[in-house]
This record gives sequence, structure tokens and C-alpha cells, in this order.
Amino acid sequence: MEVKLSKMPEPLLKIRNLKTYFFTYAGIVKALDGVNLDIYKGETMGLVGETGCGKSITSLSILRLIQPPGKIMEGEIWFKGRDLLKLTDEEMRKIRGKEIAMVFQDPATYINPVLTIGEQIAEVIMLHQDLKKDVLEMKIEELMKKLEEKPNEKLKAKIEELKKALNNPPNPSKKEIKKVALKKAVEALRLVKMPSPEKVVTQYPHELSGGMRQRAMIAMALSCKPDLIIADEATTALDVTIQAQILNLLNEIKKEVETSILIITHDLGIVAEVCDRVAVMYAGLVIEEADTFSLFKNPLHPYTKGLLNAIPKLYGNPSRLKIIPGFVPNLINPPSGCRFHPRCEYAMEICRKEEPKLIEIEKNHKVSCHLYG
Amino acid sequence: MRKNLNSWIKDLEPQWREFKFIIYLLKQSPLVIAGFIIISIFIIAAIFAPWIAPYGPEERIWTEQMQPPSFKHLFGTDENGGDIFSRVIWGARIDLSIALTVVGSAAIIGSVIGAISGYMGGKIDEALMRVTDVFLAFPGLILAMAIAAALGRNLINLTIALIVVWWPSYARLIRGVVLSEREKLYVEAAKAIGAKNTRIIFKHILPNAIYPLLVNATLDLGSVILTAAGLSFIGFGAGAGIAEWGRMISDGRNYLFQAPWMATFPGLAILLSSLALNLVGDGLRDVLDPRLRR
Amino acid sequence: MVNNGVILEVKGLKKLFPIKEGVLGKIKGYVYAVDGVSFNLKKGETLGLVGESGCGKTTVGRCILRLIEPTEGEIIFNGINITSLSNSEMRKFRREMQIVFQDPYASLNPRWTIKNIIGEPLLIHGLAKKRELHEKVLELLLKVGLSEDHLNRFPHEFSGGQRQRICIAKALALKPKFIVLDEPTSSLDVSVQAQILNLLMDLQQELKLTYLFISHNLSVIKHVSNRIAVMYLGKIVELADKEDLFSKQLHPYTKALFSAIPIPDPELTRKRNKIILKGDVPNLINPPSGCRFHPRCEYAMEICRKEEPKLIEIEKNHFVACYLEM
Repeated sequence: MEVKLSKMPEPLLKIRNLKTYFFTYAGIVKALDGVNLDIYKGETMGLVGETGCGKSITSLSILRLIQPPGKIMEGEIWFKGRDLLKLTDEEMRKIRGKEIAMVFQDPATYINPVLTIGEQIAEVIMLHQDLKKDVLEMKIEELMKKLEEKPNEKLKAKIEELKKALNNPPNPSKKEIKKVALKKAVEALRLVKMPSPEKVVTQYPHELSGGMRQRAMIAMALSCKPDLIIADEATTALDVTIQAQILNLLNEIKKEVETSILIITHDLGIVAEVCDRVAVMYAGLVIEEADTFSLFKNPLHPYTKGLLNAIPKLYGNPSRLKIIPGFVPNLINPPSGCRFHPRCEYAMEICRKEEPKLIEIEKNHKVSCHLYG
Repeated sequence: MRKNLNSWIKDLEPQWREFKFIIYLLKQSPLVIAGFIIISIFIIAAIFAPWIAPYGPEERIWTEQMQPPSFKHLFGTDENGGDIFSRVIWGARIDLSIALTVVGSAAIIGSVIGAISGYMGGKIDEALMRVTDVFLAFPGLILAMAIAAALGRNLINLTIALIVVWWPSYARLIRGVVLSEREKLYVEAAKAIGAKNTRIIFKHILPNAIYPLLVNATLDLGSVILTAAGLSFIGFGAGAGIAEWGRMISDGRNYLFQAPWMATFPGLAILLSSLALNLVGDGLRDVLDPRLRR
Repeated sequence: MVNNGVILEVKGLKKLFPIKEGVLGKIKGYVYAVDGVSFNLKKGETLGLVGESGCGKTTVGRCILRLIEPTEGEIIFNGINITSLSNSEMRKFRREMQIVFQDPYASLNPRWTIKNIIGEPLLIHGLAKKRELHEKVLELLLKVGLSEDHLNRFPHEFSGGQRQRICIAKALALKPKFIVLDEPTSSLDVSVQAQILNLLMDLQQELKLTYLFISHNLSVIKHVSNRIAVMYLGKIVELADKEDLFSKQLHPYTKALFSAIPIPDPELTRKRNKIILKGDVPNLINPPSGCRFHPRCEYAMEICRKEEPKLIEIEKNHFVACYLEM
């Protein structure tokens, strides 16, 4: 299923026809049934949909974290020129945390409670980065400080020797590596504007509040300067004012660190707040993909329209919410043709028979609906 | 009348569906199936003993003492000419019914005490738990022996002794379940509509304790068989000549070299029955785990 | 006994949770969950109670129904002081006041069928016999949009929206006059939430119900409420009619709350003036001195640190607890 692209550079992440199925007692749940998605370098992409649409499964599939009874059946996930689904486990492990990092929903449940924040961030750094040079640089720095206090010929010579070794640094001890990693962890925390990062590095997760924990997790995700961060409902468990802080932080970081962010959420308000482009999912498929302003101003797919109508507006005055009739379909036996047709007020004969393709209707606005082609 | 029966069946429909799902899950483990088959054989033997056993439990054929296993006597005969095969079948009756009685009574007594203790909390909880602790402090076997010795050495008193030994673990178990269920939202919802405490404990909370109770009970059945047989072996249960597995091993001990079959077959019966119950119990525990995704 | 249409009066409600330490359970301090909340509810209206986690709104709801015992204060329902009634006396009142909880799965007993769950209140209060349950429960199910084949199923066989409908049907069983809705749609999807909100509003009109609607979602609150109370750290900081509050927020926290809520309209949301509060929601154990909001408030003055402001009527029916307005 080829998708027509307008003239944009090659995407950082290109998902084509991704199918992830779950084999259960009740039948085969087709959680993802041909997902197509593009994420470009340096942009914040929103993936929005309701419970069961498959957005979380998509992020887990990208990182190949799907466990039995789930299985990625077919599809391609192109990332920096390689198909992630064809990599070995070892190669995939090198990508997780380093090139693609993930921030999950509830920091209370996914942070290790018995390790300090510093240890957890340092672990990621130690796993993925070669710190030999950094250790050497740290040693040189320490010695230079000593030199300032008490000039000494022997010390000077030692420093020169170490500097020469910079091109071929020796293997440092575990203790030294940890020390350097912790330093880098402090830097990462500073990047996310964490107050008193040197203190936080020694604290345990339960000593921090929810917002600070999530900040620490974002720091962990950023620590190896990944190309893509996946934030899976990262602010859902937080209070509104704290969520505003975190969203503000993401906006600021984007300008400093050139990383792409995939924000997965059910809250269209968050999408409006921080995303450059949005993809809307329904019943295991992406049914609309556009830049944010176009999506909200001119939603094309009837489901997107219905979703926007169903949200109580903070400003404006409707008395009864316009609801989408019916229920989310059963993914074991999804409806034939277009999955939304049983609930769609514009459904036509063809909608029952044929599944519509994701086609670019206007510039940067793709939709899969028979109303448009 | 017809309408009542129909509606009664309909009411039980959801439980029946759940039962079928559990059976489906259990069938996936060959060990569980094996255990189930073995214990079913014992249960059938116990129920239909009068029709299956070729000889009576105390029937003695003085001309055929200490005969090795043969077609006439599948497991051989003992020193009194009793057919071991028949006696093992009759013994199933005794040991299995002791196990059921002990576990059933201990579960009921323990559950009531544990539920009240866990729900009421405070001083009642403290008092009941200290009583439970006292019982738990005694090594089970010795406590059972002491009670059996005091009341008199027969099977009924053995059963009573074992109930006394076993109820505290159920009290602890149910108390734990009640403590965690007590904080749950549906209990608060029940209070919001005006439900009284007894209603909440027995109709709301206890049904949620069924699964852990069932697992524990199944595993305990195996343990009780072992303990009852063991106590009978040392003389605290079945009297001389009674066809009970432990007693039979004790009687056969003196003839271990001349007629090993006398002790072996009852021993095998104890082993297989409690093993089977353990297999089924383990299978149940895996299946009834609350993390079971539906 | 109803005086001028007021169905519920809450006066000076306080709830302190003791923090015990050590083997002997010595009291180390208190969590000031609710620290002096007062308001009235008129028959037929919906009061929205909005605030973030830890502000005490859920505790207020539960105290009114005496699911949690208030430490101080009075609750007067239909003119009768129900604060210190015994359990059996309270049982009568439970028919008039019901609650719908946030988590529809946890509030339904997983081992009971829907018929028994919804029918239980009728059995407890002697309003139906066991054989009549089928008919009466069916009536309630139809009212909330479910059907007969849902009667003999377990809660886990339903979706979130359906479970919440079951909870609403159960709340209606005793024909109450007042229902506390504790975040009833927070765990539901947007489209399901819309269905449930419409249902609640229809039922309110049809059955002349009074609602206390608790939520952290301002847009939902705006949709269903007549009046809105904003809570912060156990106190009400602002209370006004819906229109008044939305046209003008007086308390700095309310202003921040309004600006923090993501609006599904990228033009509006990115152009507006955002107030990003510094710091975290502080500790309920050692609340800040004076005005609880002062550590995070950009307008904080000397007096804010020293003395707690009282909730005063600044404009008609618009109450604020803030020195800026005095």
C-alpha cells in the first residue's frame, strides 16, 4: 500500500502496513491491521485515539516490546535506513534507549523504586555510551584543578601524558565509569530544568513528586541524545498544572535538542498544545494524518469530526454533546470494508465493501475515507 | 414451578460460563490432567467400594495368608488372609472422607474466624489472632497426637484432632484476603447503599475469597491424607485390623521382608493420592491467579 | 423539611487523617485533607467541585455521605443534621443520597451478577422481593440505555462506559434526591464520556435530581454545572455561578488552572497567555502558613504569608478567598 508523499525529506521513522495480532482464548485480536505512519526529523508528532485503537501497541511494536500472546505479523518499520523488524535482538537492544527512547505513563509504576534517580539514569548512559574518553577527560580536569592550587612539575608531566592518550584511551575501572555516568546524569537533569539536580541524583523515586519523577524520566530518555522519543500518555497521570509544566518543558527542549517526539495520547487538547502534526487512529488503523492546524480547522474523516464534537468545550455554548452512535468495534471480528462505517452518518455502499486507503487529499493532509476518493 | 426452575438455571449461567473457562485453562496442562485422572480413580474407588472390591474390608481367608500378588488377590494377602487390593479400596473410603471432613470443617471454622477478625479489626482482631497464634505455635503433628491421645485413639478423634490443627491456617488466609478486600471500592459502595456489616462480610467479601480458599483446600487435602495416614501408622488413628492405609503400613511393617506387598500397596496409594491432589492444586493455583486476564 | 429550596448545607467541614508512627501507633501529625469547607446546594442544581489531586474534593463527597466520618463541621440534609447519626439512623438517609464512583470496575463486586448488584439496594431496604428483582432491575437498566441480556453477566464482561451506566442504574435504584458524582467520566474515553454526560443530564431533568459533580476536568465541569467551586489544598478558594467564573476568574490559582488546561484548538491554545505555576502541589501534612497558595503565587504579599484569607462574597454570588480582592 504505497502512500503518496508531498515533497518532504525522507522521514526519520517510516511505518508501512504494520500488523500486530494477539492470540487469545476468545479469538485473534487484530490490534494493528495495517498501520502507516511517518515521523520527520525534529518534529513533534501526535498519535491520538481512544482506548483500544492501538496507539500504545504501535509504540511497543516500534520498539519490538510485544510479548506473547501478541506477535508482529507483517509490515516494515524503517528507521534511519534500516527495517527494525528485521534486526536481531542484539541490534535492537542497542537501539532501545540510545536511538529511540520511551517515556511511559505512570512514573510510580515503571521506575525502579530501589535505585536512586542517578543510578537509573547512569545505567542507561553506561549501557549505550563508550565512556573511556570521558573518564580520561574527567581525570585530566581533576588534575588541572590540583595544578591550579599547587603548581608542580610532576603533575604537569602527568597531565601531558594523559592528554596524549586521549586518542587511544585506556580501559577505565568500573568505579570511574560510574562516576562519569553520574556526572552526565546530573547534566541530563539540568537539561530538563530539574531544581537542584545534584541532590536529585542521590534521591530515591518515592522522595520526588509525580511531576518531578516524570521530569527525571524525560531526562533519562534524553541522556543518550536519541533521535526519537516516544511519550506514551506521559502526562495522563499528572495534575493539570504539572502537565502544563511538562508540556512547556517539551516545547523548550525541542528547540535545544534536535530530537523528534512521538506523543501518544487520547487528549486532543495536548495535541493542540504541542504537536506539529497529528495522526488519528481508529480500530487499529491510522485514518487521518495532517498538520495540527489543518486537522482542527478542517477535520476530514467523520470519526475525527465526531471526536472533536464530543469534547465539552471550555469556551462556547452547546447544551448537549453530539455523540458518535454505537460502540468501538470488536477487533476479533472488525466490520468489513471501512471499520468506521457502522457508526458513520455518511456511510455509503462502498464503505461496507472496500477498505479505504490513506491518501493525501490536500498538502500534508492524508485521510482514509471513501468520501474523498 | 417450571418458570422458577428456568429462572434459577438462568441465574447460574454466568458462573457456569466461568467454570467452563477454568476447565479449558486446566486442560492445557498435562500434569493437571494426569493428577485429575488419578484422584478421580481414587474417588470412584471410594464411592463404589462395595461394588468394586472383591472382598470385604475385614474379610479373612485363613487358608490364604501372606500370599504374593496373583490373579485372585491382585495385591496379595496379609497375615490374616485379608485381600490387600480390597482393603486398599476400602481404605480409600476412610482416608478420603477424613481428608474431606477435616479440610471442609477447618475451612469453614477458619474462614468465619478469619473473616470476622479481618473485617472488624481492632481488639477483636488482636484477640482472635493471638488465639490463632497459640494453635499455630504447636508443631502440628505433636498437637494432633496430644489431642488424639487425650480423647482416645480412634478415627473420629483423629479427625477432630486434625481439624483443630488445620483451622488456624485458614483463619490466617481468609483474614489476609478480607483485609485487602475491605479497602476496595465495592465495599464502600455497599456501605453507601446501607448494607450491614454481616451482609458485607458474608455476601460481598467472602465470595472473593473462594479462589484462594479452593486452591489451599485442594493442596491441603493431600497433606491431610499424608498426616492422617502417618498418625494412624504410629498408632493414633485407626485401631488394629481396620482397613486404613496408614494402619495397613504399620501392620505390614513387621512383615516387610517376607511380604513386602502388605506395606507397599497402601504406601503407593498414599503417595499417588496426595501427589494427584497436589498436581491439581498447583494447576488450580496457576489458573485462578488474580492476574488472570479475561 | 426544606428551607427555601436548599437541600444540602455543609458548614465548616474538616477532615484530618492522623499519621501514626511506631509500634504503639503514636500520632505524629495530621493530613489536612479537608480544612474548613462550607457551601449550600439548592434542589435541582448541579454544583461542580473542581481541583487537582490532593485538594480534598473526593474527601468532601465521601464526608457528606458519611462514608468517611468528618472530624469537624456539620452536614445538614433537608434540614436535618446528619453529622452524628448512628449507623441505623443513617440508613434511612442513604435512600435519599447516593454516589457514583470514579472507577466503575472497582466499585462493582466482581463476583456478583449485574442483576444482583443493581437489585441489592432494593433488597436491603425492603423495596422488592427476590422474585421481583428481574422486573425492577430491568426497568433501571433500560433507563440507562442497557438491555435485558446484560442482567446475568459479570462486570468484567462489560466495557468502561457500560460499567458506569450500571453504576448509575444502581445509584438510581432507591430513587434518591441527591447524587454525588465522583469523577464519573474521568476513566472513560471522550466519545463514551459524551454519552454518559448526556445521560446524566437527561436523568437530572427527568427525575429532578441534585448533583454534586466532582472532577479535575474544567471543560466537563463547565458542561454540567450551574455553579462551580474551586478547591486547593483542602479549602475552597473561589465559588461562583458558571458564567461568572468563566468570564472572570478572581483567584490566582483559578486563573492558573484555566490557563493550564489544554484546549483542543491550536490557534487559541498557543496564543493565549499561559501561567505556568512554579513548584509542585505542596504537602498536605505541613500546609504552608497563611494562604495555602502563597508559595506558588506570583502576587504573594506579606499578609498572604501570615494570615489565611476568608471566603468572601466580592460580587453577587461570586466568592473568593484572596487578599488581592479585598
